[in-house]
Amino acid sequence: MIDYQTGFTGLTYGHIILICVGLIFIYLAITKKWEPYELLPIGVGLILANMPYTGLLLTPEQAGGVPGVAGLLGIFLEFGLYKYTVLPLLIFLGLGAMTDFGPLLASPKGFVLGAAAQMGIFVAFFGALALGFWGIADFGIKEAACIGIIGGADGPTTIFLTAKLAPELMGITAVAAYSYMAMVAIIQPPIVRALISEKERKIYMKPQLRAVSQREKIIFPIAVMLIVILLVPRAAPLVGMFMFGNLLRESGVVDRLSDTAQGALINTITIVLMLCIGASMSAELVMRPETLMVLGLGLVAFAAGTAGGVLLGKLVSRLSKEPFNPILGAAGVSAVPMAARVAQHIGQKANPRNFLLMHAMGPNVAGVIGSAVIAGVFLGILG
Amino acid sequence: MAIDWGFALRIAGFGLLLVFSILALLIVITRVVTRFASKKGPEEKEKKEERE
Repeated sequence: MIDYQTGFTGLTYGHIILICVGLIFIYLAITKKWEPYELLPIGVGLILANMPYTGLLLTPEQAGGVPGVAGLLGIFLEFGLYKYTVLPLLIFLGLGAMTDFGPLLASPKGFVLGAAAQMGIFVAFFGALALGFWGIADFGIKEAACIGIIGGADGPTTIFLTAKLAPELMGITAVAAYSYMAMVAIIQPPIVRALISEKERKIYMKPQLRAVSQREKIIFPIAVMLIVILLVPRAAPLVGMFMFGNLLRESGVVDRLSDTAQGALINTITIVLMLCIGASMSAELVMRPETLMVLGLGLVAFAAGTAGGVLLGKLVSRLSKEPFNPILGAAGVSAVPMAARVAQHIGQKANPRNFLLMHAMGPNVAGVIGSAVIAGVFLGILG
Repeated sequence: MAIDWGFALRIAGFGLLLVFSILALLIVITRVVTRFASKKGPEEKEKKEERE
């Protein structure tokens, strides 16, 4: 008799449900083009992680260091996320190399909107704490911070913080962040319309921003790196990598490095990181009521962040001498560039003469800095 | 679960204060950087030449 087991014997309802979720992600990525670079590998990771007896998730630690026993996804998870958390930081390097701070430098009001849109993080933070307090979910202060950071609308920041503070929530917080980023065009417009009158939405802004010199673009990432890291040292991995990537781009002397960071490197790391995110959602970790609560609170965080940005946008619009369209506040939610595109779309719908995309890119990239700062604060206090 | 609400409020208050302060500080820095490193527009160049 041969001792051999097929995967069928180990399949549970939890596995089957999550394999179906993986298939849905792949479907959405391919047919709807919803964040395909993220959802496609996450879907595959989900499927692989929920196949029984594969050994793919066995980490080197679990394998007792015996060579050849650990699984591929377990190796990625242990060294890329749980132990050293290098993968989201390398993504941040690539994102920095892809980011143009020109619109923010041309119109620095965007910084304030980027800060206001972080309100959602704290709304969800208190929401999660309340669920923990009432005994509805097993959320403590670290879990609440990781759930709140979904409102930063920044995938790598969410993954980085969750891997450090509450690794068991990593898969679901990351999926929530990326899913809601993909759904920004559905989540934001009703909130913007509810909070901004049609008259305000029609406010016309000149499409052209002033030209920003290369010298400004070179000094900016260095200045941000120095100041932000001195004030929030634990934000150094995120802010340092982001600004380093941006300096590669703007310096103009290391084109090959810049091209690699925003091309081959970020693509390679995206494959590995997103597979890991999918793989971190095994049925044992995900099939519990807390998962739905994390998804719900993530949505609240996104909505509250949008509302915070929009309300401050209204204030800036009132105080500004030049015409300022408060829709731009919604772009402070740092889902780059989706939130900026949504602002452009709503603005143009209200007033076909309006072209707000470049204006919206400022608060959009300021939001990335804002959420990295808050992640650093959480890590500094709770890490 | 027992939650220390005072501690949570302090984290949130400090976090918000810090993010607004840092991003406001970055506005000031951007203005300074712009002042010393921005491109001179044709009008500014003309004015400078006139003064000289």
